[in-house]
Amino acid sequence: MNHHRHVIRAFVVTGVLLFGILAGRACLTPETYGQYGKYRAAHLDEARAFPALHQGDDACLECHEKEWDMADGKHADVPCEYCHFSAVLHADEGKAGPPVKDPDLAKYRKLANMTVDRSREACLNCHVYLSSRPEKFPQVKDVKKHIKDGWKPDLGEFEPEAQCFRCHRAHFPSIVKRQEDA
Amino acid sequence: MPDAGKSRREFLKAAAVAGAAGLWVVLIPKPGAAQRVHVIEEAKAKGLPEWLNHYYVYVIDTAKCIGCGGCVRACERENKVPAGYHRTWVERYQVNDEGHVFVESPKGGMDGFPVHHEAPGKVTKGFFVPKMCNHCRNTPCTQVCPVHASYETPDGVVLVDKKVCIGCGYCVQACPYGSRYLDPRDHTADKCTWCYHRVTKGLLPACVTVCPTKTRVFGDMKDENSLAREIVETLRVTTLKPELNTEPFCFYLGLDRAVR
Repeated sequence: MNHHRHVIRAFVVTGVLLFGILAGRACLTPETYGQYGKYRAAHLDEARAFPALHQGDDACLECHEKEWDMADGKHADVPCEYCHFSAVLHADEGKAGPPVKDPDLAKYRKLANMTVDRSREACLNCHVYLSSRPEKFPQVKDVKKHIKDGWKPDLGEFEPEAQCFRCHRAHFPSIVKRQEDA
Repeated sequence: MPDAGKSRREFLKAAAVAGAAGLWVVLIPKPGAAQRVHVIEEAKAKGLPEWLNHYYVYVIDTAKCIGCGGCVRACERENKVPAGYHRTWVERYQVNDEGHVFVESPKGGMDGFPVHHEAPGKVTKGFFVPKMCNHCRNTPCTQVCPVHASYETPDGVVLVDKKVCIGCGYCVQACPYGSRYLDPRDHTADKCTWCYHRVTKGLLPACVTVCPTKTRVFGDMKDENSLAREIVETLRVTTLKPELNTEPFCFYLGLDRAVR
């Protein structure tokens, strides 16, 4: 006749287990979990709050109208930040600004000053011949030959190791345009 | 007995209700595109943020890529990607006259490609293929996450919640595109976010911002003036590994069969 005690015990044990599981789940579930789906909704705002470095051509145009008009020909569509790096560092922490505190960004300090890389390598990164590049893209197969063939007497004495900018300007690479400009 | 008859009728009634309820449970929409649209509609009705009304899309025109690696460098700067890891990378493909395919991606193409790495034999075709997270609609990476740290946002981006991630690495193995890595700094999964912090502010992803040949196009499927949307709707686009049914939302133009 005392069998009902087994049933009560079973109910109590189940109840305690259930409570434990539910309480544990409530404690471990992040606060905004499930608001939009099976994830922590607050992370959406956290992900959006990350600072943006590159600002796009429109941001450059705000101050650099002259340089903007100067860009012509095949390089007119090359984004400013391809060669000049992140605008936000330049504008916020450039020459006049305070030193860059973030150690990850400190290495771009030099770039923040918008130092122009005039090395031949910088140009050849895009323009050296590679069989995988699109055929119509301007490429230099033999750099030495290119300098020799393209050298004009008005440039002075022949320099076999001349940098690209001796003849080409990054903002308007066509030589014809440069001669008009000079 | 009249009582027994009544209880039978009640039982049958209850059974019918339970059956209908069971059928309803079976017919509940499965998680997928339909439910996401539902979430967006609900969000609109509740007056939730405007960003829920976007659905981002990415298009890569491989025929235009010159393999300069500007996108890889920009991504590294923008997202503070640890050295040796890449959220986006560029692969160089060379196919010779014997049909052999040579693929390379030194440092993810960050410093461009070495001139002397020409494939043996007569190279009959060559091209560059930029790659990154494909932000799949039916993605294996979020399905295997045991803690729901990885998820799809209502605007179509796959993100990782680093506060929740336990760094088990299941998603790294599940991704068929190799787009994920474990960040050595905090040992949590990390990946391309389509620069979620930028696109939600109206900027383009860093890689698209610096691309000099307009190989990379970013857009919004809910924006009628979006070029990427126009490309997806009017041109013959394809995706990487379509046979896996991951439904990538990063589309490619001019993809060769050699690309895997």
